[in-house]
Amino acid sequence: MQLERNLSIIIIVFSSFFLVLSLQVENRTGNFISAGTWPAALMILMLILSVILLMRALKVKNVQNIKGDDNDSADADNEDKLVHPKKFFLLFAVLAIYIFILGYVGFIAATILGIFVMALLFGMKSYIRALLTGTLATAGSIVLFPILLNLPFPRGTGIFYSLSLLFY
Amino acid sequence: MIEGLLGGFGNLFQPFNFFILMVGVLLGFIGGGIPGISGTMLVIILLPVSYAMDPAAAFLLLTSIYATSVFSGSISAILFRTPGTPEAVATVFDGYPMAKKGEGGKALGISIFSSATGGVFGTLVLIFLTPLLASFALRFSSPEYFALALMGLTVVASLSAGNLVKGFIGVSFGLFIATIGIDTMTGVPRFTFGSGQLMSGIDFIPVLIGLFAISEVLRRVQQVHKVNAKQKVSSELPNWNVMKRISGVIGRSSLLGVFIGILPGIGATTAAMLSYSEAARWSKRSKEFGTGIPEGVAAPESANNAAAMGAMVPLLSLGIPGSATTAILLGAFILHGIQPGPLMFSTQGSLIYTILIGLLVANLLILLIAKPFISVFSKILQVPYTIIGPLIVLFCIVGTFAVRNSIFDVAMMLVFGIIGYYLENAKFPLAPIVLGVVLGPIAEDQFRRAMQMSNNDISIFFTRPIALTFIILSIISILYPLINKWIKKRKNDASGTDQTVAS
Repeated sequence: MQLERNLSIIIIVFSSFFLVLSLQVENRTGNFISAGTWPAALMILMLILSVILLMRALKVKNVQNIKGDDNDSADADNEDKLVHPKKFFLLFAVLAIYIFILGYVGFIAATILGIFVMALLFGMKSYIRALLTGTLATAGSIVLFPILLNLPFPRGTGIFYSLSLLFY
Repeated sequence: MIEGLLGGFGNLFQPFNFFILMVGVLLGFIGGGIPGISGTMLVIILLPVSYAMDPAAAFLLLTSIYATSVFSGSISAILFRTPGTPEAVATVFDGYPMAKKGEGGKALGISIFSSATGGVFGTLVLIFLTPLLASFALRFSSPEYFALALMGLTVVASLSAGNLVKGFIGVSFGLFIATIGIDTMTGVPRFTFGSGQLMSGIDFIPVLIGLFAISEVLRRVQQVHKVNAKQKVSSELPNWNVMKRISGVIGRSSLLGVFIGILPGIGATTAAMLSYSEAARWSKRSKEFGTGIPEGVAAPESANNAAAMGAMVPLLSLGIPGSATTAILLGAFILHGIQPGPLMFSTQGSLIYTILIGLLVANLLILLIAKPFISVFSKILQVPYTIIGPLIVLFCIVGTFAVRNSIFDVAMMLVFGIIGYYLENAKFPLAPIVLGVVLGPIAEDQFRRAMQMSNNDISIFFTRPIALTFIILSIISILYPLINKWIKKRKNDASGTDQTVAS
């Protein structure tokens, strides 16, 4: 319920912010319905609904405070299944770094390294197997996409650019 | 129509198209069979790949994956009590007990037979009903299109898993995402913050892949992945006695399934659940349901395949997606520069009939390919998630990048992955967001065009019969669950009061 409460507050802030921006969108044609009308209407709807959601979340919280939180044990059971919560942040960090370096080091180096780290993160014990997974997955992708389907993959810069030219 | 169908056969049996169909069927089998890779996800991943293909080959690939993944979700549902796709949830109820009794092969055979029959029935309805609906829809103009998009958006009532407020927030969010970028009607930039990349808007593929696939991977990385025990599996098609026993159930469930599938937004999962409960209600062996009987496998399996085909009817005839996967298919049509809807039969007749014949053949191929596939599949299931997980991420990245060759899109995919993860944690339905992103541009453009047509007179939506009918249906579909809930609450309150008085 706390998550729902926080989420509804985030949505209220989000919709208020974009409502203000929608009202500032230029009306180039001078029409009654401008480019900002539709998003403004959506943000008003979202704002109203998120206030309702927040009120409901607060109401449920009050009821739970009176009754005692019966869902605690059930939630705890669900939480138990996610035994490595830190891995969420690690995977997010790996993906963010991968996306950041993709343009600089190109698809080949970034993907071999990315899949290697991800395989270890998903629980693979052997470094050699993880490296093999990364290399084979990268090789397979290069054969399938840039070579067979002519999709232009990022090549990177400098030495990585030259390396990519050897393959695609 | 006969000419169109014959043309469709001709197109389908061109070597490359037939090869692509076979690839689609096999991928659908694999994707549906492995828990964590749904047919929807596979269609999303392969959507950018299909962009490089000719439209006929592209849609044969995507629709055959869609058709066959619905069936193959039942394999792991029967063998491991883990539905490979959401549509196979109801198959677990009797399929797994049958496997536990040592009748796994028999249950798989019934699933193959029922799925193929339901799918073929659904496709026949699709072939004969779609042109009728399409000819009716030819009378549409901007007000009707807007009203239709509105009706499509009100499907949120059934996609929001019992929470209308969250569903509508989701759909509003999706509609808002679709407004980002240069306004197509006036050329005004909206919410771009001076970014050149945001000028062309946020493509729906990073949104879809992020919300569904990346969020799931982010969840699964936190879990302990067990290696599946080795199992030897072989299926056996039902004998004459079993066929006779389940034929009535298959007939009724296929009919129910296709009807539910046609209703926008209800989907194959609901169809499977409803047909299971209806089969249990009308069967002479109603008390044996849940203990592992053939009827319990045949009912959901024939219904979900029939419903999956039924969901294509509103997509092809009206341009309304009937389910999450058909919403993606709608996006695929748009990506290929084709607008599904009334004009499609006249402008893209050859493509439509190729797709319809392709679906028919894909459903028949279930009968032929499923048996050898199941024996191979039992080996794939032993591949650990430590390998499959990174590969899913790789496919997501490649799939997103390939649409516009943009690393910015890949970053957007990650952002929506995080959003999807937290929204799912807060029990927020994700399907309404997809609905909003896909239907947003149609709804906004047609609304503004209709208003221009009428000099800003909103009565244009209420004076045209078709538009008015759609608007009334939209209002009903929103109000019905609310009224139903209110009536149930009143009944519960009344029974509670009676009990208090009695005590």
